[in-house]
Amino acid sequence: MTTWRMLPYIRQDGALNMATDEAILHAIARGQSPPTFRFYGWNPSTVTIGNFQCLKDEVHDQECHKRRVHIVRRITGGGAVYHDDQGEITYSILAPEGFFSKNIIKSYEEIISPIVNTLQEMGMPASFRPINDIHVENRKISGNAQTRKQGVLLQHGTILIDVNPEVMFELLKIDGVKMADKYVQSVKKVVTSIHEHKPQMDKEKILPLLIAHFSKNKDVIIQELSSEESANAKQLAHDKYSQEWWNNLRV
Amino acid sequence: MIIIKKLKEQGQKVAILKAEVTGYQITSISLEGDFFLHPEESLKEIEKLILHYLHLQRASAISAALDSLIKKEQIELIGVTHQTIQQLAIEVYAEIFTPTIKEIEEK
Repeated sequence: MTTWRMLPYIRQDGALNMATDEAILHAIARGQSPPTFRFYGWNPSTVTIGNFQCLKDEVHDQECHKRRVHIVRRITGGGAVYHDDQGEITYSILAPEGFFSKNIIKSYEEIISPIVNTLQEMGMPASFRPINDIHVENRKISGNAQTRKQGVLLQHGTILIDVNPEVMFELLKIDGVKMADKYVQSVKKVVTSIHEHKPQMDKEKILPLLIAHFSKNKDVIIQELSSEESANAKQLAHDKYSQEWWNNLRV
Repeated sequence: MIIIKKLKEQGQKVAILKAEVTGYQITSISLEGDFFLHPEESLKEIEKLILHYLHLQRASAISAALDSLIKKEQIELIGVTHQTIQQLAIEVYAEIFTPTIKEIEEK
C-alpha cells in the first residue's frame, strides 16, 4: 500500500497557499515527495480566480484592497471564489495521475467522495454534481478544481462552513445583478453551508471527520513539508502568486 | 476597440471571447471563463485557431477545426463546447462586419 502524507492544518495567505500546492506538485513529479493531502485555511480572507479568468472582470479589486482581502490566480480552472478566513475548510490532494481515473469528471467524483461521505455522516444528503461540485438539496456546498501537470494531479476545493453573501456581493462581480438584496436572495437559493444544516458543527468537529474519510484505505503519515518544498513554496509565493504579471495574466 | 461576447449554455460554464480590433482587422483573441482545459497551456493553440479562422472569415468552420485540434493534441475541454466557442466567434465576426443601422442610413 502506498504511503500518503497528510500535512498538519495550517492557515496561510493566499499566495503561499497556492504556492504550497505547486511546490508539492513539483516535488511529487520529481519523485521526492509522496502523494499528499492537506487541509488549510486562509489568513487573511482571499479571493482566488480561475486560470482562465480576467481579474478585473471578476473581482472588485478596490473593495478587496479596502477590506485587506488578497486576490490570487490559481493554476486550476474554474471560477472566482471568496475564501473567508473563518467560513470554510479548503483541501488539496496531489498524487501521480495514475492514482485516479483518466476520465476527468470521474476523477472529480472519486476525489470528492470522502467529502460527500463526511457530509452524509454528519446527516446531510450530499451528492456529487458534475462537473465539479457537491450539492446538498440542490444547493452547492463545495466547489473543486483540478489540474494535471508533469504527471501529477492536483485537485483543490472548498467546503463551506458558513456563507456570507453580503461580503461576496461586495467583492465578486456578478453579471446582471446590481442590487445587493437581489444577489443575497439568489445566493441563498443556490449556495448552502454546513452551518445552515448543522449549526453545532464547527471546524474543530468537521476536520477530524474529513481526515478520517480522506485517510480511509490509505496508509497515512502526518508530516510537514520538506525543507526544499517549504523554500520552493516561499519562492513561488514571492515570484509568482503575489505578482501582478501572474494575477493579471488575462486582461 | 475590444469586442466582448459572452455565453453560458445550460449546465455549462461561462465562456467569454474578447477580440481586439483595429478597423476591420482582428489583432488578437482571448478566450476566458470559468471552464476547465487540460492541458491549460493548450489555450494558446485554441486562441490561435479562432484567430486564424476569423481572419479567413470562416467562423462557422471553427467547431469542426476545434474538434480536430482537440483530438490531435488530446486536449480536454470541460464546461464549454466547440459549438459555444464557434458561436462566440460568429457573434464577434458579426459585430465587426455587420454595418450599424446608422452606417446604412448614412449611405
